[in-house]
Amino acid sequence: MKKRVVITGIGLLTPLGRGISSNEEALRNSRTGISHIKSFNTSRYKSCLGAEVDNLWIDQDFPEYADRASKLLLTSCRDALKSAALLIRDEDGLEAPIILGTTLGGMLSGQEYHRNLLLGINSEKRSAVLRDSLACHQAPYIANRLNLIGEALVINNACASGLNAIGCAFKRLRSGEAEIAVAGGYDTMSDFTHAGFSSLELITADKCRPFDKNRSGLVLGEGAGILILEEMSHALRRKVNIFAEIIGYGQSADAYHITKPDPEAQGASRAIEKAINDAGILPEEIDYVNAHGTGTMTNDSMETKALHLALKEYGAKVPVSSTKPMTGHLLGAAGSVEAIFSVIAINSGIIPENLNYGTSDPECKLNIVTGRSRNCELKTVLSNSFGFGGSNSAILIRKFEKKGL
Amino acid sequence: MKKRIVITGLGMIGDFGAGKEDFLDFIAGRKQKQTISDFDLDSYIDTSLLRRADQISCFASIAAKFALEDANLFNNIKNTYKFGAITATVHGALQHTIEYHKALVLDNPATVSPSLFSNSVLNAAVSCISNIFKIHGYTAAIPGYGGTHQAVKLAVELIGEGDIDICLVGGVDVNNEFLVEAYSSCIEDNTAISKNFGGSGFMVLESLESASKREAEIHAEVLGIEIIMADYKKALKYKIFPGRDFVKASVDCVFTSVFFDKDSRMREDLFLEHIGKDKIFPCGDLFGCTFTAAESFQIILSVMRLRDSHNRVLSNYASLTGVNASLLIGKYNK
Repeated sequence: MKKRVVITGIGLLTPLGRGISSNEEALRNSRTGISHIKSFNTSRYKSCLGAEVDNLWIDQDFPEYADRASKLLLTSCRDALKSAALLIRDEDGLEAPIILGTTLGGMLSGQEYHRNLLLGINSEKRSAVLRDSLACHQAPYIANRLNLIGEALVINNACASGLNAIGCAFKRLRSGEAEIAVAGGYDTMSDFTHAGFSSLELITADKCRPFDKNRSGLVLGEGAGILILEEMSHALRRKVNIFAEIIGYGQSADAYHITKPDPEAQGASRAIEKAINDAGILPEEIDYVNAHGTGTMTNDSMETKALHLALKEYGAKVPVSSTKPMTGHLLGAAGSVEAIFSVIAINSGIIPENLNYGTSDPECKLNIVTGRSRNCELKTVLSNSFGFGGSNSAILIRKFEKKGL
Repeated sequence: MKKRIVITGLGMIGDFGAGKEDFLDFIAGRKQKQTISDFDLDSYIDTSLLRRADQISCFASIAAKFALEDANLFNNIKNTYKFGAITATVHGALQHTIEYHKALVLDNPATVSPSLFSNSVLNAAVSCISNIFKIHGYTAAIPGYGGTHQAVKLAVELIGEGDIDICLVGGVDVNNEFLVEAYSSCIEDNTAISKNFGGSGFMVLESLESASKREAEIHAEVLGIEIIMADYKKALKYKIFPGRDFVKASVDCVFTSVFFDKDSRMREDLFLEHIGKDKIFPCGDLFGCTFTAAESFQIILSVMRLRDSHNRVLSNYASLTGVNASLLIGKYNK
């Protein structure tokens, strides 16, 4: 029999704030964290918009060389462990896997490394900077700092990385391989990603308007979202607060194009169907969909099609919103932050608004949550994440109930 | 492990050449090392499928194709949604990344090429494999020293749980002069990084049920895999050591990684104290410091050695970041 997996800890660092309460307030009041980018020069780009994390919210006890990605991540991991009442004693360590998703790891260090290399400066520091830049550096670094001695695994599926890291941890706990796991995603703003997404003409200089007929692209952001997942009986024995339960997860690949999603949405709908089948529920039991909703033409019409294919006629009825107009697209953190937003939605009884939505699009016939956030009792939420390379993932989160115990 | 999992395909390209014969000749000392410029990629794969791709995507796709052919799955995948692909890499698409940064640093960042960006992301190689071979199941890139062993573990979990039946698993990394310079200050043997260019190795992992149904030739069975996170100090402090689960597994040979740095060598020694140094086959000299490429070649060599007198072998990897992996493989026995 499969074990039940619950969420007992949350660490959240987004452009909306640090922790649950500031993010919940922003979701309730439709406050955006998008503004002019401060961390790099945007004068040569079409868009200067981004969603950055305020430096004041980040813990400060880092070595001088530490990359910003490590800082965002460690701050969130500490908050998550604290909220799960997990105090790891130095002499014991905690044998728990840490499974993280990221698209570019320490890319700010990567930029520094390559800049120094190309300009022929600071050669003596290059190896340290290179090490910090690698996507495989942060998870072991955090594991060492926090005395975690399980596997430190990094999963990369571009923008679906964070949700797939949670999915991987969920499956390990459900199969009994571990009792507790640290899982989530992170990414930072950088010239590298801004230039890349600009080159693909995916970034808007206007507002991010997912599912709107006049949508013109995404806005990038940064952040980290970390969950402590726990096998239910382990959590009950610890008498710890349970935020919600993960009941299903699905993943698939488009096998279509390196950046474009399959317009027929075969892969994305398959991931959603797999999550529903995994959870053993009916589509009608889903109370809200936190959409991937990037605000690009291709993603939003594809996601609409995927929801219609997977949920059948209920696809046009279920309330849907994207929270990216508030946070920006957090890349590797998007999936995990949006999974946490789904938990917040369940526990606070609000469906966040799909901000900046004004004109309906016949290609996106969905029940979009507009005007303001909705107060509503929610039991089950679906959260989608899709990434470059055609990676699709979906997760189902449910209000925790002790039924059947 | 819920299901028995077997290895039914092997494919590789690297310093030794391309394919199993070249690999075995190289191990036996019958073949000289090749350089990266010796390869005519068109002779291995339709490169029109890989236009604008970085060299790691090309190498990974070729190794994956060899593995699929070996498993009799090339153009012969029945249920693409039950087929996955997981690719490990440490440095990813280095060639494209450097070109991309040149544009960022030396030119106008607003004029970088879109294909350069999309082909330099870490999951570019696995996306190419998924697109070329029409793989619709689980796909992921695993960035990491020890990433190939981690990829194997993930594939074993996914097949064991029934999410997928078959999975292409491998590693790809290609060295260049910049990496040689960067790593020369932190590894013990500076020559290890400079003497190999890397390449890619892939395996086909499959549930026994699926392999039997296809009447596939089975090279080996995956008997177990353990991964822990601890540097030497922590390994001592918490009284854990890499490979602890397999000390009593009666292995005939242990294939070990290149000794990257002092810490990983000391961790490897902790394990060797328990298993005996006479069983060790160090792979460092053969494959050099080529990250997940060397790691994949090490696992493939472990599988191939089962054809000799060995019944059970262990592939051990102690990495620079403290990831310690042990993969136990045995001869397939009905």
